[in-house]
Amino acid sequence: MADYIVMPKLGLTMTEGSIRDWKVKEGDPIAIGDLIFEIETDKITKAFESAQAGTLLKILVPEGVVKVQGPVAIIGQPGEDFSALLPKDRAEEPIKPPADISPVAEPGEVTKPAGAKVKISPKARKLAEELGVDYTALTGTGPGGAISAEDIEKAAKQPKATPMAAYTAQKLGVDLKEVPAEGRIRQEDVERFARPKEKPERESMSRMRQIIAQRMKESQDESATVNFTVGVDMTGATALRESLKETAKISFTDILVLITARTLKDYPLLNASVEGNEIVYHGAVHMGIAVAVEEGLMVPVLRGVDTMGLQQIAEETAELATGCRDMSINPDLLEGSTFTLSNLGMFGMEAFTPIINQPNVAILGINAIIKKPVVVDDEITIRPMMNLSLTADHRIVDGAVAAQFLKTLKERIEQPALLLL
Amino acid sequence: MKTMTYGEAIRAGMTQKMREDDTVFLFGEDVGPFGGCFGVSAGMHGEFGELRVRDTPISEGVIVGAAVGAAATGVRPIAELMFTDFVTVGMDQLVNQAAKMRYMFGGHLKLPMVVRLPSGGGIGAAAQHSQSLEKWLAGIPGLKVVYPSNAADAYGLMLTSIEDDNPVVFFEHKALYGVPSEVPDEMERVPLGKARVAKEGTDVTITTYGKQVLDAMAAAQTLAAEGVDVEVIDLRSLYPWDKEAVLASVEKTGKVVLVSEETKRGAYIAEIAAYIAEEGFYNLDAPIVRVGALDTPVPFAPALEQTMLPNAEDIVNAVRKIL
Repeated sequence: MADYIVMPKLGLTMTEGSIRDWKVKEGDPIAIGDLIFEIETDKITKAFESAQAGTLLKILVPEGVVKVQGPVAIIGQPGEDFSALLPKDRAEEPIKPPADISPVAEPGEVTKPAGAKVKISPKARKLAEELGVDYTALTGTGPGGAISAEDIEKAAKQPKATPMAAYTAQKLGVDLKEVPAEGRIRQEDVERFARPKEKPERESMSRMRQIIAQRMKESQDESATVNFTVGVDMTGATALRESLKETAKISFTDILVLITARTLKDYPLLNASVEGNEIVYHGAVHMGIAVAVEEGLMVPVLRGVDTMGLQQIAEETAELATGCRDMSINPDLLEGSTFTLSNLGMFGMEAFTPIINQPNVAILGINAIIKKPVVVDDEITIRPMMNLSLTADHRIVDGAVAAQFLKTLKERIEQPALLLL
Repeated sequence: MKTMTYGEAIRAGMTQKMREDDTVFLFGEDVGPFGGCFGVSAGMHGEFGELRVRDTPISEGVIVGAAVGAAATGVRPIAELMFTDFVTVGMDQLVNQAAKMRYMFGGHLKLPMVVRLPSGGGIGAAAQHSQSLEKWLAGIPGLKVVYPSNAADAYGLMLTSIEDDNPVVFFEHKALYGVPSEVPDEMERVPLGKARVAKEGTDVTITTYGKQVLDAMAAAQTLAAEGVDVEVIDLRSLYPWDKEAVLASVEKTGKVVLVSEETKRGAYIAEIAAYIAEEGFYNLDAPIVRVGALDTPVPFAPALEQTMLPNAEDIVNAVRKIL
């Protein structure tokens, strides 16, 4: 019994998904668990595993957005009549270029049906043979519509091209006369010629990119951003990490997540949101951690991180990052942050101005740890230094508050033991 | 350059040869003191006398037969028939005797005779005095056939026709006799079998002869105003005819209109058309078009006669048909 394959609901907030990259063709057998297409939501891209077995009878949506539970394909037994499942107003097959496009036929001219007798003067026929012009598709301008020698000469001046080359040239606005080719111009010759002169290449944004673009712009429209930078001596944090090396695999990010989370408890204004004329203090710290993935940026959320220890932070962060990179993450884990960390240290950045991840009111940029000469007790000494780049929303976070937050953060990173007080 | 009428040029040619060669003589109905029905031999009787410019009875069989006999004896007769139409009466002498003699006597005999045939319509001479019948004679092995269109060619062809050792049928268009045209100060022989490019052009070849050369030139002028560059070929000789010239022109233009005053049905130009189709087929870029007279006797009523005969407008229309 033929049935629909429908757009799954991958997360609580998912309302629609975008189909792309079908892995199977119509007529292919499908087993339960087979990957049959990819779904892009506003958060992730995920391969869809079939929950049904059978034969793919019809792809209803080769590409594009489908509402959750909307049909995307029909599965059933080979040869089964599935016409009842077809939408009534289904669009016809995509229009293919006609096979008999002639390089010389004028647009709008009626091409002769195949096998029709071609009216051509003897001179024109001889000329056509000499010049290698296929006159069967020409429209004659001679007496009685016969193809004349002049018609052949004109056609011969047209470069010889395959029908697909002519079609492609027309599509790309390429003059076939300018296309260099050995012998007959082929489609790839036209494409190669067109490439350097092509208009800037255009590509539709992925759903993720659209969302990122939209969110970033919205964020800049929403927040009154102000940026702060402070240098931090990482000697203490390095020592801490070293001291735990035998016990747990802890990264600087993990240490910074913990210290930042704990410090945010002391500065609730930075762990807040603005809703209309109200400030919403979130209390618990749900730390968004920006993760770069192939297609853009994802911000998984470590929930309740202010109560976590370093090991838990390390484990959960690693899990979230992996989920993001292989797109296996539950979309619900990508929502609900109260503050965000963005680490560009691995790229050697020393300062940047991160954009606030709405509805947060601050984001902390983490930079590279670089050994620098610093003055300690009036002595020039070499210390592993790192800058923190804070972007805060001045609507509620005044400079003094932000500066105090950063100052405290700096002190605690430099002396992690302070957290134990 | 000077001008001379067609009739004067024919007379000048005959006179020239008669002055050079006293075996040349002219005879026919009223060619003597009367000077010929159309005045072509006017004054010749006075210059050459009774023996060399002779009137004959009204008997075309006799006229042509006498020419054949005289030529066989070694002299060079010029026989004039008053109208081409009456060649019917002399046909046996012309076709069965004149045309065959050299062949049947194994070349031991020369037959240097010219038969002048005033031809064509347009002068209100009615059905029995207006015909164009070159098709009858151009297809007879043993006869050479010429048909000049202008004074210079008429003169030049007259010299070579008289000098030729074979019977030559010399067509003259009655409507051209009084038509002047430019001739060089030193008029020259026109070789038999050589056409003349009356006007060079690239788009269409009009191949014709006789009076229709004038019509073709008028048509070419009309068409030139439309941007059509017409080439006009004046065949001059209908047999032998200048195949090379015609084929070369067809090769150049790819289109050919053939014009004759004969009724189109079975006209001499059909031979040209057939030859082009055989030998120049792959140079043809359009169907061959023939322009001829309507398929009827030549009417007496002038309006009908003008309708029946081909004219420049007909040629223009024919050319337009294949552009």
